[in-house]
Amino acid sequence: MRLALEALGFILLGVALGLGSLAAATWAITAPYEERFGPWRSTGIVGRVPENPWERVATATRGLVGLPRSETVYLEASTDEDGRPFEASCAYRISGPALPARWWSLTPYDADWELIPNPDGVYSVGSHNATLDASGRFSLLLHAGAAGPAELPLDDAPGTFVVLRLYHPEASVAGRLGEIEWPRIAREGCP
Amino acid sequence: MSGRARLALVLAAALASHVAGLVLVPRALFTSVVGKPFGGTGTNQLGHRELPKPGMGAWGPSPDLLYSKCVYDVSGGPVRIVTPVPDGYWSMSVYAANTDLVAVVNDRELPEHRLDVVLATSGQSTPEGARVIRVPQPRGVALFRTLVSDPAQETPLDALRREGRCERVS
Repeated sequence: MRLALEALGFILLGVALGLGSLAAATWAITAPYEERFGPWRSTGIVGRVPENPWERVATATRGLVGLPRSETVYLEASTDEDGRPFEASCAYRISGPALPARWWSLTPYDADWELIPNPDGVYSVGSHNATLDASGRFSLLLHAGAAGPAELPLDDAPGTFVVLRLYHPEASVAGRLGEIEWPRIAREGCP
Repeated sequence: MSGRARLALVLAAALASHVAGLVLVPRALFTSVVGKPFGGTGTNQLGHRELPKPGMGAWGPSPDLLYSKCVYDVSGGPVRIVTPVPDGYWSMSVYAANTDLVAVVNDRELPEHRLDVVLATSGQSTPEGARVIRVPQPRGVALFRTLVSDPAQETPLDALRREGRCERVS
């Protein structure tokens, strides 16, 4: 009995080492693809065809059924531009120029990747419904009491993040992500 | 238990779990997230879902896209997908069951507003003249994204996509 328990302990240690080394390898593969533009994060591994099983795990866990950047560019933000996680008691202004794509949109999700309910059923704002000013810029509020077409909902619980999608980005976009003026996310007010 | 036996046990378990993770993680993600047909449909059938709403249990869907999919299995023969293509943004992306992206086709490549394609493995014969996508594994999914940029377009776009078919080549 004692021998069996001892063997089980070493097996569990081995399993932990095996899975831990897999997680470490996955992280090492994805890290070079990670990019940050102010509050926005993106990864070039989405939509890649993996060259080995480790890359496959990395691609599947970081961007399952995503599209390559020639088709779609994905960015996500879980903080404001000062690096503070979104708080349900605060309001945030997201603003910037229209983005260089055939179609773009901003969509907030809760921590479980679910769309966030709101009275007007506005789940995204983008090229299809954003109001642009004379200089081609948009401005919208992200807050828990969102109402109307220029406001996006923030979840009551922590963990809200915003996904920015650019479908059919202009041809040069994928190669110059660092030069694009991405939307600002400024905290406007907290009680 | 000797020190050598302990080391062997640890290394064997580490190797086995590492290799199992390499194989099983992508397949488990595929099965749990995209590998099941939409409700009411089966394998080699085109299924559709309404515009995403809160609480649908989907994983980060775009609320502006109508999603359709055909979970395919070509082990019994090639599968043909024929569907009209709308004016706005539309794409079909094909993934193998191990999550590898196999192909992407979008509306800009189809000015005739119609997709007619056959999915087949490398060894399978296909109808003459057919556009063929060679899939590396028999099972996988073809995922369709149709942009609804105006709520008034949801109904006609939904009707259009329901004209599509995904079925085994007879």
